[in-house]
Amino acid sequence: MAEPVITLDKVDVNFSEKNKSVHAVDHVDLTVERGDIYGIVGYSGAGKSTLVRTINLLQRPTSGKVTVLGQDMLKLSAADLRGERRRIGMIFQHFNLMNSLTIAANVAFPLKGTLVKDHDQDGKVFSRKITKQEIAKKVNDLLDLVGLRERATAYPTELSGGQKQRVGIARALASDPEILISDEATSALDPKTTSSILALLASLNQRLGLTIVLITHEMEAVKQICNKVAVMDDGRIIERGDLLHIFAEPQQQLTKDFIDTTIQIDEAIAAVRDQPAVRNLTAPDELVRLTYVGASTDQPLVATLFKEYNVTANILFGDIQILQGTPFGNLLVVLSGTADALAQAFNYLKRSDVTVQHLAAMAKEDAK
Amino acid sequence: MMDLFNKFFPHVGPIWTGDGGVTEAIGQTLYMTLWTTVIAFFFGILIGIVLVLTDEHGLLENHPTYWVVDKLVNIFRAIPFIILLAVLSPVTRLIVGTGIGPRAALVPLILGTTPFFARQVQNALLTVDPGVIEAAEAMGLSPLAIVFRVYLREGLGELVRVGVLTIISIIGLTAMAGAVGGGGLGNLAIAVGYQRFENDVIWIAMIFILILVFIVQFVGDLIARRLQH
Repeated sequence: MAEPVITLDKVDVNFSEKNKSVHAVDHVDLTVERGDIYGIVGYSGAGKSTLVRTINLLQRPTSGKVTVLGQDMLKLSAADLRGERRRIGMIFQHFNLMNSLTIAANVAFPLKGTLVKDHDQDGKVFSRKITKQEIAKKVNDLLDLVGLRERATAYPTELSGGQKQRVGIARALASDPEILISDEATSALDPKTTSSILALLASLNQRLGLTIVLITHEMEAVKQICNKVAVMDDGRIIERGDLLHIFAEPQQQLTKDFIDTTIQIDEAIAAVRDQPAVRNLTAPDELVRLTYVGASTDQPLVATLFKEYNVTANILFGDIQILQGTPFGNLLVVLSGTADALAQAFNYLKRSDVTVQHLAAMAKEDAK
Repeated sequence: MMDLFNKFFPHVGPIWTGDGGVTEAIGQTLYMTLWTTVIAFFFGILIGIVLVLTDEHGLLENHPTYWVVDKLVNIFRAIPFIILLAVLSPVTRLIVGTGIGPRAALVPLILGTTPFFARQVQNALLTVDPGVIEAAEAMGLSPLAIVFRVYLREGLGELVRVGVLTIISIIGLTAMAGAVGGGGLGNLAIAVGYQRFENDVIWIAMIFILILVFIVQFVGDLIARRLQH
């Protein structure tokens, strides 16, 4: 088992203001292991931001235990906590750059006045203040890493949102953190920029072994880079696990809703229902949604249905994405055959770990 | 040129130099403005920072401290300056040894200006994006480092703006301090111009005060513009 780098133990955050109290985080347990890109997804107000802020104690929990990189965070002195925070980088939705400083100065900001390890001629290690040259070199390297070297002397207001976030990332990496917290870092960006920022985070995870906690309300972002995901609602984690597992077998309705947003299945179902093939459907033919992950896609599904069970599958919509290198498929198909054949076909699908959702039945429910 | 000046300002020429003259009055106004600015800015920034840090959700949130400082600032701001002058006169005598002259005027000027400026500083620093403060906290900066490296840096443009506002208000107050023997251009306008019905003296005092205000405004705008990106 991989080494846990963040452990939240029954973390609880209660805001009490005036005479109303808000239970923002409700006894949450969470373990993030080294090298994870852990996505925490939920609608705004679900408590995601508050939860991740307990990791570096920007938000002190009302109760519970926070262990980061082996340190019991709540037991640290103020100075030790500041030292520990340098090992946890953070990027933000609104970038939070200093507008009065150039890009280079923003990246240099956390480096100024820090101590570095050095050794004298006898090889004795000692600490000294970082020099201007060292800062300049590091800033250059970091700007190279995020692809913004030529904008070093520009000011944040001259940059696009995506560029600002790259500066934010460079700044967060300046203190060589082992953990990066991303607080809705792509939520203010357009889809294309979002994709490139996520790709950058994924490459940092690969190249630097950076552990990333990514909070977002976009399942699309989680799908693109996370290996684990937790779904939050009303201060609690209602479902969690490996990305593939969650996509394959979501238990909670909210999780299903989030997954559906990534394939725009609702729009597809609405569009498919308008097609003649569906409108003129006669029993026992049926419109169904087939969802499958990984291994089941290796079998020639549609061919098997026809050859073995004499059931024809008319594919009206298909979406196959690759999650963590594994295919995740969603098909809307009309299955036709005798009632008996269909029953056997459904049995076969179930055995092959294909989830079948009967949509015609749902349509009737909608009509009510 | 001189003739024209003497024609419109007949009473100004004779009192241009000398005791209680125009140049002396200008010097006194500058003296009072300068020292009040230096001292009130120092304490104003200090108190403004204390207010920001100890306020709710501040970096060093502390209700009792905030409550006391906040109320003190409010009380001193509520006292009309002309009354503050009179009320403070025993204190002034205790500190500077005299109740009249520009040096004596400094005590009420500073006490009247500091709370006003402190509040302005507080508001200026509150314009700094809380997200940037949070980012600095996340980077492991101490509250003191955040004050110097974030609040004062990011709030600098706004601080210059309220600084200019405050200096102009100080110039106004120095004129009032003249009423109780503080000297300066205000004193000249009232004690000489108004009391002796020499309107041209009032005018010349006003013109110099306006020039002073315009210079401060101009320099302030120049600095503010240089700080903008």
